[in-house]
Parts: sequence; structure tokens; C-alpha cells
Amino acid sequence: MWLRAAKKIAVARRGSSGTASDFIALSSTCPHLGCQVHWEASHSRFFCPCHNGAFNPEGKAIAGPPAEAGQSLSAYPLKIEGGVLFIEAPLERLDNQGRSLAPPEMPYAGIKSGRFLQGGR
Amino acid sequence: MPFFSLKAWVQERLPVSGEQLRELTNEPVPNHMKRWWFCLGGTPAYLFLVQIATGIMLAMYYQPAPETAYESVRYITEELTFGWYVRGIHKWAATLMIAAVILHQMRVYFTGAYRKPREINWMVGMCLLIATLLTGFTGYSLVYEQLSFWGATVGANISESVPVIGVFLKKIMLAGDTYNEHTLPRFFVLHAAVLPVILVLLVAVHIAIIRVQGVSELKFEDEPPKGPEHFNFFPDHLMTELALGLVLMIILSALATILPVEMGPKADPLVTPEVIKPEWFFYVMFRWLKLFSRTAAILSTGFIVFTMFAWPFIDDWLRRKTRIPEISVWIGILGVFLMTGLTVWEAVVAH
Ligand code: HEM
Ligand code: FES
Repeated sequence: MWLRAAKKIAVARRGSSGTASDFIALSSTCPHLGCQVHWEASHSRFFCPCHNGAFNPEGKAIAGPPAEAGQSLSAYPLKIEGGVLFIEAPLERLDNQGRSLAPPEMPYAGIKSGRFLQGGR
Repeated sequence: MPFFSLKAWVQERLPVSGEQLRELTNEPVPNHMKRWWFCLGGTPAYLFLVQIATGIMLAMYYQPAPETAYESVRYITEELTFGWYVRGIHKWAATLMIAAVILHQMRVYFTGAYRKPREINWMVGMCLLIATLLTGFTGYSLVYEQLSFWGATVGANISESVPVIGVFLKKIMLAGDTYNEHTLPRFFVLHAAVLPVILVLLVAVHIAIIRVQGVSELKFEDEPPKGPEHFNFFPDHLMTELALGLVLMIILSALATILPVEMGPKADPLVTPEVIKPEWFFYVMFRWLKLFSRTAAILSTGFIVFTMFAWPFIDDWLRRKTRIPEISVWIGILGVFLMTGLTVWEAVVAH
């Protein structure tokens, strides 16, 4: 089966107040021309190897063409329910002919303390 | 007297005499075409034939689907008898063809051969350049390596930024909103059917116009003042082109053997590799995209391509305005330096 909209999401914990705002979930798709960014721990930034786009830990572009155009990595809405963190990421499932299997079977990916509990894909 | 004359049999049905055939093929070719660099137009034409022959062979084994494409190319490269050779020739001939088209265009530019009455053929030539680059692009997208996937993704997003028709263009290109299982077959049909047919038609128009107008005349100081101004296309010029073809075949075989084409890492839609570069002929565009924001890079590229298309008219206007007869040469040198500079810059750095 071929997944049309496979997406990687970078999730980080930045606080311990016990609310969803402790976390941030960023799309790893570069807003410039669609390559995948990766985290560079040595520079504390997300880096896009395609045209040298760089983003700060909040996803705001700080260098390269995305910065010139003022683009950011898109952030996913989060919520915590019963100690489980949910990322609101609508996912589309396809059958092997490429037709959409609507409605999406599992629209949420749940994680706890930065680790996946249930996969949304 | 033979019992049955094939020649008489054919001529009875197709009444074309040898005289007429000679008339049809014997374009008088000006003397400067004895110099090899004036034959650079024939080089891409020859390499294109090589691409058709090797391309047909590759198409017999290639399977255009995300699950099978990479494996089928690996099979061609590593298992199929002489597969590595056929793939190597196809790859290297593509590289040389693009180089030859660029050199041919430079020779036409710097000898001013695009000027009246050859403006139309210059524009046909621009269409040939774009069609050739697109064939190269769709070609390396087929292998389903990392570069194939990310190149196609970035290429589609570039076309999305084109004003007005962008979203539609991207949809047409990818067969959907993002790269999906219908994308590869689409690239395959474009690469192996649509673009080659467009190229054949454009080359036919290109050559028909050359036949009507004749190749532009050029004099060298060391040329003997008297004597015939032209020589015959057949067999003299054809022999030059055939010799060129043989040399090219030796070069291609040597390249395919000494620098064989290998398999890059397989496409992974979730990971863009740390160092990613397109084929060398897109280095200029790639560097350009790093230097400016998306909109600025794409609009300026569109402007440059438009200027190149309209160059015969812009050149005419500039020469009348500035009264500098060689203005196009100076602008051309600047352009070549810029292109070479951007290409070398991209080639020597990782990012
Ligand atoms: C697949 C690509 C191409 C092929 C097969 C091709 C083929 C040829 C051939 C065989 C000639 C005869 C003269 C010579 O050998 O130099 C020629 C001339 C010419 N080409 Fe091309 N060409 C191609 C691309 C281009 C491009 C990219 C341009 C420029 C934008 C161009 C513009 C011209 C012009 C204006 C002439 C007439 C030059 C003269 O009369 O001296 N061609 N082409
Ligand atoms: S795609 Fe990320 S910088 Fe261009």
C-alpha cells in the first residue's frame, strides 16, 4: 500500500506545567518547496538540506529562502486527555488503487511524554 | 540484364528519379561548416538517436511504479546482460546531449546567427532547449532514487508557484496534490513518449527552416579568397557528421565503462538526505533558489527565459539604441560567466 500523505511530525516537550502548552508539534515539511527538515542538535535548529532553510525550535524560519519569505513550519494543535497527548493531524488512508478510504480511520496520534502510544498511520 | 530489376519495379510505382533524390538531399553547405564547432547542431541530433535506441531497450525492463521502479533499474544495472552498458550509454548520452545543445546555442548566439531572418528558428531552438531539459528532468525522476523523489517534489512545488496556472500545473505533473502512486507512470509517459515526439517535431521544423534559409555564412581571415564557397551536404558533410558520430560512440562507451552509472539510495518520502543536489544542468537554477525567496527566484527565472526567447528583437533594439554593434557579445560573455560561476559554486559546496 502506498501512503499518499505520509507525514513526519517533530514533537518536543518544553515545560512541565501539565498542560498541552508544554509540548510543540511541528510539521517536518519545509514550507519553501516541500523537502523534509531535520533537527540539528549542535545548532539547536531545524535544517532543510534542499536550499539551506533553517528554523528555530518554535518553527520560525531564521535563515535561507523560507526566512526571506517569512515562512514557518506549521504547528499542529495539541490536547491532553487522561494523561495522553493528542496531535490533531488529519490523515488520509488509501486503498491500493489510490482511492481515499473516507472517513479517516484514526485521525489522531496519541503520545505520552514524548513517546508514541498509538500510531496514526 | 537481370531477370527482375527491383529498381525498375520500385520506380514504376514511385516515379522518383535519382536526379530528384540528389536535388532533395544536396543542400549546399558553406565552407566554414568544415570546422567541427559548427557541427554542434548535428551532435544533439545524433545523441537523440542514441537515446531513442537505448531508451527503447531500457523501457523493455523498466517498471514505472513506486514499489517496482527502483528494483527494476537495479536489475537492469546489476543483473541484465549488458544492462549496465545500455543504461550507462543512455545516461552519458543525455549528459552530452544537454552539453551539446548548450554549446550549439552558444555558437549560434556568439556568431549572431539568430539575427534576421533567423529569429523564428532561434525561438524553435529555445523550445528545443526547454524540451531537452524537461526530458532530462523526467528521466532521472524515473529511477526512484532519493534524488528522483525530492527532485520531482521540488520541481512540482516550483511549478505550483507559477502565477495563475501553478496549482493546475502541479496537479497535472504529479497526478494529484502530492507525489503518489500515479506520479511515476506519468513521468514515464512524459519521458518516453510525449517529450520525444515533441522533440522530433521541433527538430523537423528546426531543420526544415535551416533548409529554407540556409546556414548563415561566415568568413574567416585565413580562408582562401577564391574558390568554391560551398561544398555538398551529401556525401561530404554527412561524412563529417558520421565521423563525429563514431567518435561520440567511442567516448560514450568509454564513459559508460570507466564511470559506470550506479544505484543511489532508494527514495524515502520521509527523509531528505543531508546532501542533495540535482543533475549538473540544474545547478544554476538550484543555486538561484537558494539565493532568493521562492517568488523572486521563480519570477526572475521566468523573466530570463522570456528575454532569451525574445533575444533577436531585444538585440536589434539594443544595437540601435546604444550604437554598440557587439553589445550582444558583451552581454553573452557576462551571461556565460554568471552561469559557469553559479554551476561551479554549487558543485564545490555541500550546501
Ligand atoms: C535537440 C536540440 C537541437 C538540435 C538537434 C539542433 C540541430 C541543429 C542543426 C543540425 C543545425 C545546423 C547548423 C549546425 O550544425 O550548427 C542547427 C542550426 C540552428 N540552431 Fe539548432 N539544434 C538544437 C537546439 C537549438 C537551440 C537550443 C537553439 C537556440 C536557442 C538552436 C538554434 C539554432 C539556430 C538559430 C540555427 C541556425 C543557425 C545558422 O543558420 O547558422 N538550436 N540546429
Ligand atoms: S525546500 Fe526547504 S529550503 Fe527549499
